Amino acid sequence: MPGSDRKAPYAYAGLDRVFHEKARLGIATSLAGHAYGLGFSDLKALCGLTDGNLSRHLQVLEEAGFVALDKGYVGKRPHTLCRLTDLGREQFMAYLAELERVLRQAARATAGRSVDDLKTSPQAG
Amino acid sequence: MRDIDHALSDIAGIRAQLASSTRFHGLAPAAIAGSGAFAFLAAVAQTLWPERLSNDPARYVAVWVSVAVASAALILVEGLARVGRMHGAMASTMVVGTARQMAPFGVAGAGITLILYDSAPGSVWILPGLWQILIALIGFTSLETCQGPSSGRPAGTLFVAWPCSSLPAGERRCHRG
Repeated sequence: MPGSDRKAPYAYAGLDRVFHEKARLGIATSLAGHAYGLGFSDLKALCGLTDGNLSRHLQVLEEAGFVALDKGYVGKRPHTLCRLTDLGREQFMAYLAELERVLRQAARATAGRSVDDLKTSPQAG
Repeated sequence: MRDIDHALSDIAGIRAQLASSTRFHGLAPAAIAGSGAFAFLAAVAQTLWPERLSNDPARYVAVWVSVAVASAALILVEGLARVGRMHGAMASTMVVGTARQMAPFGVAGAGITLILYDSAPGSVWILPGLWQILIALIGFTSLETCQGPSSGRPAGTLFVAWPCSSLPAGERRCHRG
């Protein structure tokens, strides 16, 4: 909301918590380039996650409506295809826009400071 | 390059990847059909009034360029409205991506028109057929991102088959005439 942006420019309400987690960000980014989705094992290899971890994060994304899981068989083996839904694609694009805004604000805020200053400065919050 | 610039560049890359793998919903069937109706009306008008609309190469080209401009405007207006409605935050990225995909075909069409009109004005009658083949190529190259293979392949095949069969027939008619 523009109004709330003016009141709290660093609130970053658009950083959706569903995506704003390392593993889920990796999953969404991996799926972003594949219109027809990726198999569970491919996704596991790309994100460096265990079966249990990937299942848990996919469940969170599925419950939010951002990922669809199509379960079927390839030959006689069970195969799960994971893909971003239209809502997931739209929300991930909005998340990336907000993340970009954060980085641009950070770039402006640190524009006058040297790299050494940034390395030694205490973290906020 | 600073870390922040590197991160911004990564985000731009992910965004482009996301847009290129997302199906574009901006092409409205009604607008596409409308462009076909414009072409049909132009062909009928040229058949009914050949002296006014088709005997002179300049007028012939003017009629078909008008059809192309009107069709592009119709598809663009309807497409922009649909994109805003159906793609939300992705709208501008999707429009830019699709425009980038289609631009080479537009440039090729304009180039063919200019070259043909300039160097072989007696053969400008083949222009609509050549444009149709270019439109078929757009259809085939955008199978994954625009309409989906099930509807795109038959439409693209028809767009290639029709001029490929009608151009030789036109050629024979020209020789008889």
